[in-house]
Amino acid sequence: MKRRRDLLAALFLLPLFLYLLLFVLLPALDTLAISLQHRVNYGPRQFAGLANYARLTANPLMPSIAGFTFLQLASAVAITQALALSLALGAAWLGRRLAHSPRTALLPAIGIVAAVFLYRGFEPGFSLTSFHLALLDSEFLPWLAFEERWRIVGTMVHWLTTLVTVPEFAGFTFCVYLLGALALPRDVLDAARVDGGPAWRRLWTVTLPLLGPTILFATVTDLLRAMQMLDQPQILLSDSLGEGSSTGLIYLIEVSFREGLFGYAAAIVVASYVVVALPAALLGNRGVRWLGRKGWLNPANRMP
Amino acid sequence: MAGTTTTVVRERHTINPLDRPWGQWLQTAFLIAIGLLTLMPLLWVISTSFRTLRDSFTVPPVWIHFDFDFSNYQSVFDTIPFLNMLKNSFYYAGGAVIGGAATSALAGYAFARLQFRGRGVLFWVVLSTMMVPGQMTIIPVYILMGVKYLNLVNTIWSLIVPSVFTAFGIFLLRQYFRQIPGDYEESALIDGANQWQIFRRIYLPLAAPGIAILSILTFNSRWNDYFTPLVFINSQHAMPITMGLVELQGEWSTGSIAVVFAGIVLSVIPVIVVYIFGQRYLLEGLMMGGIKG
Repeated sequence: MKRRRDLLAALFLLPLFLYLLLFVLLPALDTLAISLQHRVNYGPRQFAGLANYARLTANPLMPSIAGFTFLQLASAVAITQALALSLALGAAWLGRRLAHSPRTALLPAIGIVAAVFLYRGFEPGFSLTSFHLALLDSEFLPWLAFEERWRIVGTMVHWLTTLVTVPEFAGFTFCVYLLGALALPRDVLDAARVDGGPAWRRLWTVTLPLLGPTILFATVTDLLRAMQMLDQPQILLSDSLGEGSSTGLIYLIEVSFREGLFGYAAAIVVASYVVVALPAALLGNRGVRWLGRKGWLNPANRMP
Repeated sequence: MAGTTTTVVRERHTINPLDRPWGQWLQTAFLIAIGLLTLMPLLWVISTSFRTLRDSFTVPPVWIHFDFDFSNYQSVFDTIPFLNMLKNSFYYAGGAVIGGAATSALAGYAFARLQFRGRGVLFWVVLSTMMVPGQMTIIPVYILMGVKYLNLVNTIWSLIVPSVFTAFGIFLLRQYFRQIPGDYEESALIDGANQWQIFRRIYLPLAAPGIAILSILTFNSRWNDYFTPLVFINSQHAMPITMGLVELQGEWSTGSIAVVFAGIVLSVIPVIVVYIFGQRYLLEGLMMGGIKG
């Protein structure tokens, strides 16, 4: 009977795991293997040890690309989390206030509209991206020389990419936080209110620890999304600000799919993943545990 | 009740300011303000798409422009094979929706309703793939899709095939299947149905709202995808609309921004249609997630 059940489950899961194996797990391991090889396009594989990683550290462009990418990721993700979390907490509070009002339905509707339109709206070439182009237009800042306008674009480009990233990410992240905030146990919130203390303290010691796993999920997801963000930086950086102002992903595409240096490109992928994603997940996890220890949910921290 | 002391409990009826009429108006105004803030970028895109290049950026910005110029829309069709790109985007998004719904429904049902050894570990493996970014697998997948193996590069299949699986979709549908009472399964088993029939005839129709949500989200994400096409497609006949919008910008971004905006407006229409038809499911899904956690 047990064996029959296992077989049945295997039949249901077969397409998924075949797919996972072929397009996710094996390729991820293969990326690791390729990073240790000399491989140009579809040419033969030759073991190279850590040569690709050594080349990566010796690349003079790498510090500026890594710095630019790090700044980009950190600012975009931090601002997105702060904005989406505060909007969601405000919307959830308003939702509870309007619990029996038909207008309650407006809140998730707004979230979805925000997610769809902001996501869609900030397509390549849109808005702030275009503002970058407009800055170079002689009619936009007529008193400045072209070189001067180009310099301004160069200094603003990081903040412009952050500005176009935040609205795109905020919609989905807002939905995630709104779901988390609406699902918070009312009895715990009420008990904390009875316990007393100002609202900011309840937020810090009750609401945020309860939302800890949601915050971790949203932050890591946004970080991975930000790592994969390509269209806005590519258009904003538009070939001409120099390779040093490139993001890791743009440089990766250049190295792998334009120059065909698969081994070196794989080393960039592995290094960026290890440097960015893993510490973020570990730090996030520690942060959530810390909130749990310090918060009201820990009985030791409650009022006697 | 002689000898007893009557205590009068005074209940303090405190009325929250937001419950007063002006408070209600304030809330409505807040919601409208958020709505406008959300729609503003789209309105600006639409407004600019009807202007000439010279009028595209005016300082201060002019929101409503009465001198409509429809030539930008004509230019979109003249500059790129827009309808072909639209068709490619439909195939790409549609293929990903069908494939994603099929694999996610099967796996979601198995993880939610079937008891088998290693269920927890396998589900953890599936969820952990959410932590693997696309670029981690893109080089081997590119090699697999290349001439040496599948020979799918530069075809729409090179976009559809790698995007069929979504860990998020499996998680979403597993939650849906778990919410459906197990009584249906027991009744069907007594009636002599097998697991496939129970899945196909009972649970799959009941999970339709969940599948609709997944389909809408997948459609939107694939419709907007730029990274995968940039890697796998380099000939215009197989390009989806996102690449077309970049083509509209021209070499060194010398194209007219008003034409780019016209292209964006045209490419947004299918997404809005999908949203209009699917918003009920999205709202239900969000509310259900919020209420039931």
